[in-house]
Amino acid sequence: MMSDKVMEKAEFNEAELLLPWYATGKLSDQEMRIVDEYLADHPEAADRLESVREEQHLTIEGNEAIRAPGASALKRLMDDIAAEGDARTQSAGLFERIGAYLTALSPQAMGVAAAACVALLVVQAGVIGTMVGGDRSGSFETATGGSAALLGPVAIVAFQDTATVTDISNLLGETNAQIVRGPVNGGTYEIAFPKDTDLDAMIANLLERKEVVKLALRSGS
Amino acid sequence: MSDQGDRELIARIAKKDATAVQALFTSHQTRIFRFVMRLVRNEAVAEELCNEVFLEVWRKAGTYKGQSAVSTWLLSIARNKAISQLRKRSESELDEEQAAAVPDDQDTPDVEYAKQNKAELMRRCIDQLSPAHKEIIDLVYYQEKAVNEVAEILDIPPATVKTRMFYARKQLTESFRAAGIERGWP
Repeated sequence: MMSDKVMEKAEFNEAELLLPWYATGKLSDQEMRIVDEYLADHPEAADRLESVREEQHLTIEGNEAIRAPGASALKRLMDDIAAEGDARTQSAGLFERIGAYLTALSPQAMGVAAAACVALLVVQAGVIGTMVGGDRSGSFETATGGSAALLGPVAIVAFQDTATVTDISNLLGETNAQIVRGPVNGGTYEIAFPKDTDLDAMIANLLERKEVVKLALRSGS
Repeated sequence: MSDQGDRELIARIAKKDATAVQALFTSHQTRIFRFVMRLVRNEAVAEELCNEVFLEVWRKAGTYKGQSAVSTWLLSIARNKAISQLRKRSESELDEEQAAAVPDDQDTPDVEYAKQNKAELMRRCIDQLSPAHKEIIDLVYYQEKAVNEVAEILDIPPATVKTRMFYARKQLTESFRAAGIERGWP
């Protein structure tokens, strides 16, 4: 344990103060050099940097333990915006537009890891939206906001780490599926299909999509 | 997240393109919701405030000057709304310095539990930091904001950001110690 005296001394040390931002990569080049030189001159500071990284890891875990907002959130926002009466009418479906936007951000622009992060955010939020039945009036339904009565059998699905949000969006669109819950249990999602879906055949179909789907199981099995 | 892409969305929102706000919402709602949730500790209130954030973006996108990242602007709006909500809730002005000095008094960490679940206990220690300390920890570690960005969101000088983060970490070390968790500084 670092003594209080050393802690107080650290209070006046710019490099020590900057350690959290050094760990998150949010320093200027000059500040990075200051901390790099400090770490080189003070090997014992490596332990403190390790503590910072541990705190960061715990903080991220703590935040990610908070569930994503309810799926009805986007519908509500769009209803509120529609009530403002100044929105331009759009001719294309949201699904296409969000897909296009996220595609524009994917690997070339953001790197594979960042794209995966976007996919996680979007899917966690459960808001891969679709315009309802091609209605162009602005009526809106989120992936998880549809009527439960319209939903049929449910599968538990895990996506490949390398799957982009476009891959996932396309798969959900092709199979008329909706994410109804997730991620749970280490990154799995509950996916609902239309009522008349042969779930076993659908699961077999999903498992053939190895580039996107890592795991597909009958829910409750 | 691409800030350039976000800026393009804001420009479209300023022209009242509803699909742009949908895309912005999809990209940022989870982080904004979690940030607000950690402040107000109530899911329904957090969802309401998150909705208000994006409604405000819809209304005021034209006033966005582009001097900070869009995500920073969103967090600033979110924080202001959360603080207003907390003020309403307590019916008294939130004294940040006082809040910083008073750790959250929810569950007391259990030492025996810590031995079995150190990481879980450490997360609980973070949760029990004062609101001001937890807020800065979240902004730096989870939202990954730079010093100047945190300064803008909290409306405090950059030097204060560094010292507040230092004292948040120091408080965290003391909480760990009280919970029987020994480690290096902090």
